[in-house]
Amino acid sequence: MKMTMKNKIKKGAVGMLVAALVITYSCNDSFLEVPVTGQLNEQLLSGRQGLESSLIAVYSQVNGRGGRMASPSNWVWGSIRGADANKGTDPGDFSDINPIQRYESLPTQGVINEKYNGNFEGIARANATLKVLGKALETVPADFKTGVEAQAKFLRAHFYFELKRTFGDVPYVDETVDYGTGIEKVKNDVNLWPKIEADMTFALNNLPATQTQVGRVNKWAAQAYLAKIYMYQNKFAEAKVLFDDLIVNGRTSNNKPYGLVPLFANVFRGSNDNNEESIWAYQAAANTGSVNNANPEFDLNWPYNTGADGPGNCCSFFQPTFTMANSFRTTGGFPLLDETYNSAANELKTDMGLESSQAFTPDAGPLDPRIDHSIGRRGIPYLDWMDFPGKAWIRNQPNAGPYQTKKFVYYKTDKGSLQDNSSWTPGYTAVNFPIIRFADVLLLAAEAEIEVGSLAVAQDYVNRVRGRAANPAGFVMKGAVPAANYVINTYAAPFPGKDEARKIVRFERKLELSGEGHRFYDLVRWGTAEQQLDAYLAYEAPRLPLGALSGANFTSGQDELLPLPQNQIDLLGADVIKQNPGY
Amino acid sequence: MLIGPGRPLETLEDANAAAAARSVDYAAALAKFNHPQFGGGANPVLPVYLKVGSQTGAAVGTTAVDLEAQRLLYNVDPRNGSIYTVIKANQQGTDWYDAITRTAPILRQTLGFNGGGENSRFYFGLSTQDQKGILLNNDFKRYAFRANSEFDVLKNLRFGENLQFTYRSALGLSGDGGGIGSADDENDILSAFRMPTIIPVYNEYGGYAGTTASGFNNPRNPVAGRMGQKDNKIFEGQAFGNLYLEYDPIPGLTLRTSLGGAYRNYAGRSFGRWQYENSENNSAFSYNQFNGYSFNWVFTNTANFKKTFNSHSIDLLVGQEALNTGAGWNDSQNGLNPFSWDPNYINISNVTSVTANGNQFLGSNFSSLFGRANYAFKEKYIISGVIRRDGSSRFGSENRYGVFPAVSVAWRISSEEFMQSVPWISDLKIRGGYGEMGNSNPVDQNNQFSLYGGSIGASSYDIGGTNTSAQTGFYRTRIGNTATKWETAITSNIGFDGNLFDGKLDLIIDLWKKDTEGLLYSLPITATAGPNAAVPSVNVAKMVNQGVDIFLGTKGNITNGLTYELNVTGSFLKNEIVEIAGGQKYMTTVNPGYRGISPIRNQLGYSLSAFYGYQVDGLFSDAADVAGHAVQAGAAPGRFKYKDIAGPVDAEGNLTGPDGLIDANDRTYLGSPVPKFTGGINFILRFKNFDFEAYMYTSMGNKIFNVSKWFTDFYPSFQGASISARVKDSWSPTNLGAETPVFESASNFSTNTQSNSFYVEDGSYLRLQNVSLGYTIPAVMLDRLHMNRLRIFVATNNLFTVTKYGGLDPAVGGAADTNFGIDVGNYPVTRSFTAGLNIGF
Repeated sequence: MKMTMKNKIKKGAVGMLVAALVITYSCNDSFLEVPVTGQLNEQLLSGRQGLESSLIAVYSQVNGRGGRMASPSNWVWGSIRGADANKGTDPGDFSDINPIQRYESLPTQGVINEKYNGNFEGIARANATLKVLGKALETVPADFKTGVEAQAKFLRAHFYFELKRTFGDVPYVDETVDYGTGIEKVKNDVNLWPKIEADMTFALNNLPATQTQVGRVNKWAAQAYLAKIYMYQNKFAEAKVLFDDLIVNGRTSNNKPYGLVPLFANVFRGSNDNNEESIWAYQAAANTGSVNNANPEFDLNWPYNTGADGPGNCCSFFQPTFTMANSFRTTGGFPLLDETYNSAANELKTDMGLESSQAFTPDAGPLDPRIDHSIGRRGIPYLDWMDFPGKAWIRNQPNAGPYQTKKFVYYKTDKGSLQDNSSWTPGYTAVNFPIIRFADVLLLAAEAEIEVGSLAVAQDYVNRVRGRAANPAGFVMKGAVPAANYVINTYAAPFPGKDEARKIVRFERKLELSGEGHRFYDLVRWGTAEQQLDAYLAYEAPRLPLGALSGANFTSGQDELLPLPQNQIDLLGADVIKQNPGY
Repeated sequence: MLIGPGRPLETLEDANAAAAARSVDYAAALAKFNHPQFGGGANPVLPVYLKVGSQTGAAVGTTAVDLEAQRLLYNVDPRNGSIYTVIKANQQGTDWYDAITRTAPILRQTLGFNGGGENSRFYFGLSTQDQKGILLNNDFKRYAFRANSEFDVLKNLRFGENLQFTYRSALGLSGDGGGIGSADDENDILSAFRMPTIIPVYNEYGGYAGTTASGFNNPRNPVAGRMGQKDNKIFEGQAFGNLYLEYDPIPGLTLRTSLGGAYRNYAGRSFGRWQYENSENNSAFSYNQFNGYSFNWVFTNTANFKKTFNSHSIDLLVGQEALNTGAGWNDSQNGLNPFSWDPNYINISNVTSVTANGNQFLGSNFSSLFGRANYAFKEKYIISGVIRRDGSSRFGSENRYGVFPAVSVAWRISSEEFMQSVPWISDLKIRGGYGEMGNSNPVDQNNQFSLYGGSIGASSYDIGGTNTSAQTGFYRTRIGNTATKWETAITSNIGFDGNLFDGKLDLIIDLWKKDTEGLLYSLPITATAGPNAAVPSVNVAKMVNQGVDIFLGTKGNITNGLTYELNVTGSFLKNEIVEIAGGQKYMTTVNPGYRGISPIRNQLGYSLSAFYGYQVDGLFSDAADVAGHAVQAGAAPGRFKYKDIAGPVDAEGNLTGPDGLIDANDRTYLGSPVPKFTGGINFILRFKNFDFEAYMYTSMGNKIFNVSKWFTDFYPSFQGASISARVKDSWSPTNLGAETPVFESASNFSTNTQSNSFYVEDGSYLRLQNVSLGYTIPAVMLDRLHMNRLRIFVATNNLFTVTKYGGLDPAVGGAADTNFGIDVGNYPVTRSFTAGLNIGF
C-alpha cells in the first residue's frame, strides 16, 4: 500500500518534470526561428559564384521570361504598332492587344504593365548584382568584379533604353535605392538618356573584346548599342565615330569579324546562331526544362491548325499586313520609294476570301526576295514544311488578312532538336533573337553618314545589305526555279541628295528588319509616324472586313509613347508618377 | 442551355464590308449543309462531311465520300506523319455535356466495434468508400481504419489514444479543388459547352473527331480529354491521431499532456495524350510522376482545476502548446515520348527530355501559453475570462508574440425571483462578450526575410550558346519585412438563449461585430523594386464584419405517435474594408484575370472580393444614342452603354464628377459576392419506427460574376465556338429591349474586353439539399437476430434549386479570403440517391 502511494507520487513527479522541460524548450526563442529552405540570403551571393549567378539572372530577364510583352523582340510595340503586322487571330482572342494596334492604348491595360514590369525586373536584377558587388568578398578578383559590373551596367542600360523609347522617362532607380530606403518616392522627372549613356559607356570602356562564353556581351556590342542610343537622340556625329570603328574592326563575342551572313534566311536559323552578324542576341535554347528559354514571347505567333504538316499550329497571331507585303514590290529592282506600293497597280495579289481547296496563283510581279523569308503567303514554300496553304493555316482571315509571319519559325528538320515540345503548344524554338545585328548597324550608320558624313559611304552600307538580299543562292525556290519573280538590285547611281537618301535608307530598314520590332521606334525617331501610320490605316482598314482597324488613327504628341501604368500612379501617387501627355 | 455556333450580326457601321466577310464565314458555310440549327431542310438525308483528308487538304460538304478508299489513308498517329481523317457532321447534334458525364454510383460501408471493461474503453472502426465521379474516368476510393482507446493505468491516471489510418486513391483528377476543378478554371465542362454540336465525338473510323475540322475555333474534344485521364492515378496514405496522459493528483485537478500529429505520403502518375483531333494540339506524349510527404505535430499540456462549493463553481485552466504546421518535401519528374504509350511500359527511365522539380519545407512553428477562468454563481451569474500569448515563427523577433484577452459574462435572468411569474419562459440567458483573437494565416513562413533563389523557368540563361541547355542564376525572390505583426480580430457580441413554452421553442439570437485590425495582406509595392519578388504581408487594412445570427427550434407532438422537430437558422452578414494603410483606396495584389477580364477589386468601403468594372446603362439603341452619350471607345448601336460616373482625379487625389468621357475613372463597384443572408431549415418527422428528414439552404443577396458568358455570349471571343441560347434574344434594331448585346464580330472596349455589370448576376438561391426516409426495425424483432439496431434508409440530395442565376450552379466557391464568386465553368451540383443500412450488434 505504501509502495503504491510512493509510486504514484513518483510517476506524477516524473510526468510534471517532463511537462516542465517541454514548456521550457518550447518557450525558448530558438523554437520560433525556422530556417529558410531552398532560398539564399544576400550574404551568400557575395562570392565569385554568387555574383556570377546574380548576373546570369539579369541576362535571363532580357527576354521577359514568358512575359510576351516584355521581350526585346517588341513584336507588339515595334512591329504591330509599326504596321509590319497586325494582331492576327480572332478579334476577341487576347483582345488587350486590340487597342494597341488601333493606337487607343489605355493606362489600365495589362499588356502595358507587362512591358513596364518586365523591364523593371531586369533593372532590379542588375541593381541587386551591383549592390552585392559592393559587398563582394575580398577573395573575388578585381578584374572579375569589373567584368560583372560592366555586363550588369550594359544590361541595365538596355532595360532603361527599352523603357525610355516606349514610355519616355520612368523613375530612375539604381543600386543605391531599394524597398525600405525610399524607392517608392523616386519620381519620373529625370531625363534617362544621360543615365543610359553613362552605363553603356562604362560597359564599352570595361568589357573585353571577346568572351569565352558567346552569350556574354563584349566591348563591340556596347559600342554598337551606344551608337544606337546616340542615334535615338540624333547625335549623329558621336554615333558616326563609333560606327566607323566598329564596322571595320568589330568582332562578335566569339571573335568573328562583323559581317553579313551570306544567305538572308540563315539569319533566322537556330543552327546558324551566333554568326558574324550577331552583335547581341538573346540566346535561345530548347529542351532545357523550361520553355522560357525557347522564345516564349513567340508562342502564339504561328500558323493555325497545321497538325503535323506545319510548325506551331497555334494561334495565328502576328500576321503581316497588306502594306508590309506590298512594300516588297520592286520596280527595276528597287522599292517604290514614292510609296505607291499600295496602289491598285502595285499591290500584291492575295488569296483573301479563298478557301485552301480553291485554286490560286501567286502574284507574278517583281518582288524583293526578302518577302518570302519574312512573310508566309499562299503558294510559296513555308520553309521546308510545304507550300503555304492560305486560309487553312489562318485562324480568321476576315479579321487579320491572308499572311502569316515567317522569321524565327523552326524548320521541319529542326523539330525536336531546335524546338521544344514540352509545353502546351509546340511553338518554342532555339532560334536566337537578334537584338542588334550587323545589318541594323549598317543601316543606322548609313543614316549617320547622310546627316554628318558621306552619301557615298551611306550608299555603300545600303548596298552591302541589298547585295546580300540579292544573292540568288538565297532565293526561296520552288523546285529548281525561284518561287516568285524576284527582282532586286543594288543602287548603282550615286544617291542624289540627303532627302532621297533618307527615303532609301528608311525604306531599306523597313524591308530588311520587318517583324523584328524596330519599325515603330524608327518612325517615331524620324518624326514620320503620323504620316506613315495614317496612310497605312487608310489602306489597311477596309481590307479587314471585321473592322479590326476601322476608324483608327494615330495622334501625334500622344501615341509616340505608351501611357504609364495606371496601377503605378494609383500606388505611388500622381505627384510621383506623372502621366504622359494625352492620357 | 447552349446551342450550336451562330451567325453573327455585323456591326451597322461595317454592314457593307461585312457582306463580303459573311460569304467566307464558316457559319454561312455550315448553313449550306442544311443543318436544322440554321433553319435549313428539316430532315437532311445526305451525309455532310466536315473534314476529309489531311490537315490542309480538307474537302468538305455533301460530296459523296468513299469511306473504304479513305480508310487506306486514315492516320491519327502523329508519329506516322500527317493526320488524315474523315469527320461526318452530326446533324442530330452532339450533346457534349452528356458525352462527358454519367450516372455515378457511390458505395460506402462502415463497420464499428466498441466496448470496454472496468478499466478500459475502446472503439475500432473500418470504413470503405468507392465513389465514381459524374465525369468520365473520375473515381475516388477511400479506406479508413480508426482506433480509439483509453486505459486506467491507475485510478487517477489514464492513458488514451485516437488514431486513424486512411488510404485514398483517385483517378482522373485534373485541375484544382481535388480534381473537380474550381469554378474559376477553364475545365472539361467549359470545353463541353464551347464545343460545337455539329462535331461528332468520333471520326468515321472510331478515332476522335474535333476542331481539326476547321472553322470551329479551339475547344478541345472533352471526351478525348476525359479518356486521356484513364490511367492518371494518385495514391495517398495518411495517419493521424494523438496520444494522451491524464493524471488527477488531487480531486478536481486534472493534468493532461497530449501529443498529436499527422503524416501524409502521396504519389501519382499522369499521362498526356499526343492529340490529333483539335485545331490546337500538343505535340508530344508527356509523362509526369510525383511524390511527397509531410508531417505536422502538436504538443499540448494543460492543468485544469474544477471545484464547486455552496453556490459557487470555478473552473480554471492553464496550458501550453507548441506545434509545427508541417514539414516535408515533394518532387516531380516529367518526360516526353516513350517508345510505347502503354502505361505498363512507361517509367521515368524510358522517356526523353526528363526534367525534375522539387522542394522541401519545414513549416511554421507556434508556441502558446494560455489561461482560462470560469466562475458561476448558482448557474445564474457566469463570468469567464481567457488570456493567451501566441508566438509564431512567421514574424520577426520584434513582433513574434501577441497577447489576446477575452471576457464574457452571462446572466440567467430566468433564475431571478421576479421572472418566476412569467410562466412561458422556462429558461432565458443574456450573454455578452468581448474578445481578441490573433491571426497569422496569410503570412508566409519567410515573410521577414529578403531572399534570393532561382529556377530554370524564372532565371536561367544559355550563356554558352549551346541551344540545348541553360544555367540557372539567382534573383531576389522575396522582399522581407520584419515589422509585420499579428492581425487581431476584435469580436464583441450580445446574445440571448431562451427556452420558451415548456421547452417547445428554443430561441438563440446573437448580435455580433468583428473588427479586424492590422489585416494581413501583401500590399503591392512599386514595380521599380522588382515585380517578380514576392512582397511581404503587412498589416495594411481594417475590416469590419457584423451580423445577426438567429436560431429557432421547436418540437412537439402532432397527433399520437407523430412527432416533429423544426429548426430554423438564419444569419445576416455585412463585410466592409474600412481602412487601408498609406491612404490607399484599394489593394491590387489580388487581381485575377480571366481572358482579359479582371472582375474584382478589394477596395475601401466595400466587401472583400467586390466586383468592379463599368456599369452598363443599357445598350445603345441607335446612332443618335451613341452621339448623345459621353465619348466611349468602340461605341455603336447594340453595344454596352457605360455610365459616365467620374472624371480625372483632382489635386487631393479624389475623382471629379462626370466628364463626358468613359475611361478607367468610370469603373465602379458592381456588387459583392458576400451573401447578405444565409439560412437553413431542418425538418424532422417521426412516426412509430419511421423517420423523415429534410434540409433546405438559402443564400440571399450575393452576386456572382458569371465570366462564362464571355465565352458563350460574344461571337468574337472564340469564333466558331458554341454559344448560349441567350444569343437568340440578342440586340438587333428590331429587338431594342434585349439585354444581350448585338451578336457581331467586333471585340473592343464596348463589347467583350472589359469587366462590366453585364456579367454580374444575382446569386441568390434556395436549395432542398437533403431528404431522407428511414425505418428502424422494432427491438423485439432484432433480439432474435442478436442485433440491437437495424435501420434502413433512403435519401436524396439536391432535389431542386430555386434561383435566377443563369450559370450552372449558384453555389460558386473560390479562395475564401481573396477572390470568390467568380464562375468560369462551375462543376454542376449533382443529384444523388442513397440507400443504406445501419446495423448495430
